[in-house]
Amino acid sequence: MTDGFAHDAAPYVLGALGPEDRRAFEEHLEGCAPCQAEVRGFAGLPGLLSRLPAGELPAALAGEAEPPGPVSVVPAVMARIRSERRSRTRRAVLVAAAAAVIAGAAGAAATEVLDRPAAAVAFTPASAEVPASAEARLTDVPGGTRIDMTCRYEGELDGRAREYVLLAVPKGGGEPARLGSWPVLTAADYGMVVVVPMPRGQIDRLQVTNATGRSLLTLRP
Amino acid sequence: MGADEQLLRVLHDEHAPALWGYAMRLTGGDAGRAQDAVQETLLRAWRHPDVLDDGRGSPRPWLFTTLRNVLIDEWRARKIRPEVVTDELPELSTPDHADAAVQSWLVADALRQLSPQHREVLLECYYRGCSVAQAAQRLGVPPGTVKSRTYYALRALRLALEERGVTA
Repeated sequence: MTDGFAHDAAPYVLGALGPEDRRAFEEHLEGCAPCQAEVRGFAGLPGLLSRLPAGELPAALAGEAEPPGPVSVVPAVMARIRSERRSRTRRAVLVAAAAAVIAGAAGAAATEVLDRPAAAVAFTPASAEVPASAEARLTDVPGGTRIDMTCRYEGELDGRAREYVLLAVPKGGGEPARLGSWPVLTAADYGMVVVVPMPRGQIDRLQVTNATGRSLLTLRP
Repeated sequence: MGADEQLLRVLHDEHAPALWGYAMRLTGGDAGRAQDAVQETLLRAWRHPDVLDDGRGSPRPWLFTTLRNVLIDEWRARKIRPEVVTDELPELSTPDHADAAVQSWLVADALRQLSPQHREVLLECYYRGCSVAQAAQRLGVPPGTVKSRTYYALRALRLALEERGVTA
């Protein structure tokens, strides 16, 4: 990188050094580790440059800015996202630990739906500041109640790790059953299907809490 | 504005112009199809939020590949009907070379990002096959300047390619 050869590695790999320059640089190269490293670092670039489609050369080299699209496609994509949400949400099928005993006893019938599923009901947020919404559908199944819950995080994704928990609180002030938890990582819907070993009539409320136990969303069936 | 829309807007502002350019190229300048393809590509990106994970580097290669696949699928579907066979896209006729095609587009995308001086010197010294002395004459600068510009042009190009996940 000294003696006037500081930048020669680049024209060298491109094949642009004249015969004399090239000979001089090659002699210098033998004893100069930094220049050898430069040549190695650039060596793959001519091959990549040669892959540029011939028709693209003028536009790309002129630095022609890509013409902007006629309109933003954001509104159209948002509309499709919303309609997709309504018709289909991603579901992670989870059976809560509490339900496992029942599921084991009742076998495959545990998730067999007895009644027509009720319509999904929205959770009520604890305050206007809660950055999430959820809805759930409760269905009677042998040995308990099947809960199809979808939760959507609508706050900012700032990279902080958040975890939400779904609880079922029985009537009469018993111990809440922890039905499952999930990390809030993306803006995508989180879906959960669990069977809770309580008849629907015994569930006082469902709650979505954060990791510290603060109730964010409540649903009274 | 919901988090979805925010994510989508960021994605759109950063990548839609490049996607649009590629879509226009692949559709032979059909703005309607290009727009549909960009829309579908952004929707697919939204469905795969892991693609946008910062830890994974630029989503550009994924976006370009997806865009291309969207158009190939659409093109195949149309090809079944005889009346539209004519709008064949020659470059799309070899799906086995999808990676190579996307890579070459990524090279073009990287070149666009370079400064005019850097692009100019690569045009002379590489694509036109000029020697340093000839390029110096054509550009009206000393040979030493051609060498240093070439040097910084290659460094900038290497960085732009790395950002796009293209390695030699």
